[in-house]
Amino acid sequence: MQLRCARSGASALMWMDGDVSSPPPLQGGSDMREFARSLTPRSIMTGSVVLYAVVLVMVLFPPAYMSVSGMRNPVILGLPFVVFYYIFNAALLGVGLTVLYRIEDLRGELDERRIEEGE
Amino acid sequence: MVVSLGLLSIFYLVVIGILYTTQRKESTGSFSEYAVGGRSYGPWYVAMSYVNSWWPGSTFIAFFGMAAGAGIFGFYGLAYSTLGVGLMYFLATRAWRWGAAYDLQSQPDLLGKRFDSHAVRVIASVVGVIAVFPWVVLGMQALGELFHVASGGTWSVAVSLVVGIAVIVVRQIWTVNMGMRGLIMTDMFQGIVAYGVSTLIGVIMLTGMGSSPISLSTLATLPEQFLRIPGDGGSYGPLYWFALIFTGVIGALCWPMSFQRIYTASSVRAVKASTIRTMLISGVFYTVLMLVGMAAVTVPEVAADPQGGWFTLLDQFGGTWLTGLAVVTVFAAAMGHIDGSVQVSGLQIANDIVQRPGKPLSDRQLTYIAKGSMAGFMLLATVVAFSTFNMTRLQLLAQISYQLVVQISVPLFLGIFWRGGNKYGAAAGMVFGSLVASIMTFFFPDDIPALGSLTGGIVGLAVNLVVYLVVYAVMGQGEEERERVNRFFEVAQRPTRRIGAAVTEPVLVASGADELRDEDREL
Repeated sequence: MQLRCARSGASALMWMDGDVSSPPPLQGGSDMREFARSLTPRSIMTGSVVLYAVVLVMVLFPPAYMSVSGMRNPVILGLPFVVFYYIFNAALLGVGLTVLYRIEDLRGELDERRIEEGE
Repeated sequence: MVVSLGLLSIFYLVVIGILYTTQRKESTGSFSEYAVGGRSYGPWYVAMSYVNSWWPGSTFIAFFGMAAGAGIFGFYGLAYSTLGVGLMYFLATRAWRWGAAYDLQSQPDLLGKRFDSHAVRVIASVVGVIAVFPWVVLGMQALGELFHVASGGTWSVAVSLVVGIAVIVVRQIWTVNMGMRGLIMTDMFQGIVAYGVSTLIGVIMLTGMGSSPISLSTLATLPEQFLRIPGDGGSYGPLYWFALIFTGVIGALCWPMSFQRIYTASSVRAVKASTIRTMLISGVFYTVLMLVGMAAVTVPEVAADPQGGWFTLLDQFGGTWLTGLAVVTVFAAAMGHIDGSVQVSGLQIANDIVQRPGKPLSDRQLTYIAKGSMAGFMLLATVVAFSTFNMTRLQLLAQISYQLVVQISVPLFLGIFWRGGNKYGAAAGMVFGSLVASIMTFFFPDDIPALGSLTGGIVGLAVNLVVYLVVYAVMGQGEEERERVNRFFEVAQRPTRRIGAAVTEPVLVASGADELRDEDREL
């Protein structure tokens, strides 16, 4: 049995192999799509840079990382705070980039063919 | 011994089986097909290949040892890997479009094109290959140690080294023959075993299930010394943590193997999707490994030998079978890293060093040279691995190599995101930066106390950046060069199609892209 995309009929294996370079955009609610399209490229870029910069500062700025050094409390999810701090930062960037990907996808900006055709 | 070696043999045979079944009888014969798999891979393959090139087998030894021996110290790897891999998202569009438009095969290829300079291309390539070499040697030597463990100590270190190196050398026959395609197909399997299986085992151990020697609950009561960041007391200065993570972040895409993954992807979408998947796989795997390491600080046998902690824990948890599995996970990660390093080194030697401007080699010639370079690279690494076994200075070379490879970052990042700079500044910056970084790291292998524990690589980077900017300020860009750079950047702003493996002219369909932007502005 082979998994197939409900919309295009392309097999999942084909997509993994890269034979389908332009799969259909992710399905999103109309509100989400409208929101994504309402954003300007500048606001998307600003948001992305701010997100990356915030994580960068939290991890790289000496006063920031020294302030959590040795901190055990509050213990969150069973983890000393300093451990949670580093996992949280990694997760924040991961989630942020996933949201960015989703927005770009809804705007049709991830596929060369769609941009080319002005879809 | 029988179980560990048996599991290793099964794993190895599966890898060889995958290579046999995926080997294409008919090849297009193009160098792009050989070097970057014809830019045809989807996000999961690219992601797993990236993770394989990112976390070598030593992650289970050196990084695990850091967490088990020094606690939070190990988490610097999570910080730099997340930020470093995340950076790929932001340069994905430009780098992929340039790659597809100009049929670029490697990171130095891009730099050469950006600065219109063969010298820049050669310097970047030489720095990359030299930086990779000690890691391949160390990886081969680590395999020797691994077989020593797998044999239960019954094989001498010398015999284990011979077996370890023989196994990896035989594997490289397919790397040489198949190029990138041989790498990507096995990376998926190796990655699942190395990172998937180890994550699963780690999670089970952290739950405290069965006879697990550790538990997540241990973490909340760890002594404070294990929660202190280096530089907060102790012998390191306050900038040591910054230097470690910063070097890792900017070094992420300086490693030739990492950047190469952009050019194996089938589209901008595939690069961006693979970035997110890489962050997920890498982040979950590494976080679990570090939590296991930190939870193990209270295990006396691990405290006595933190670097062997992964094997110790799995032996205590599941006896012979889990020890065998531990060996296989490390072997899988080590193999994936060495494969990627050998492949990209051969590619860069052929494509960026041997090939001269004005005298382009045919695809067949390039492929032959790349294959020969890979074989030569592997042979040299084998000789060095044998002759330098137990030499501590080799570890120093590996440290220098890391400080060295980040010197590519100045022309790489400034070249991608800024139209300024010129080839003289790019070349001189890398040369001076590399020299300063190498010399400083030779005298201060770990940190420079007088500079708050900054590392030699950071000092080299500062010199590199100053040279790049000063040379540009003094010499500027000629009118012709400015126009060339503008045209180069215009290519990255417009959609570019990948047409098979052939060289494709950028599809300058300004209307489509511009209409979209206009539409966005209206919205």
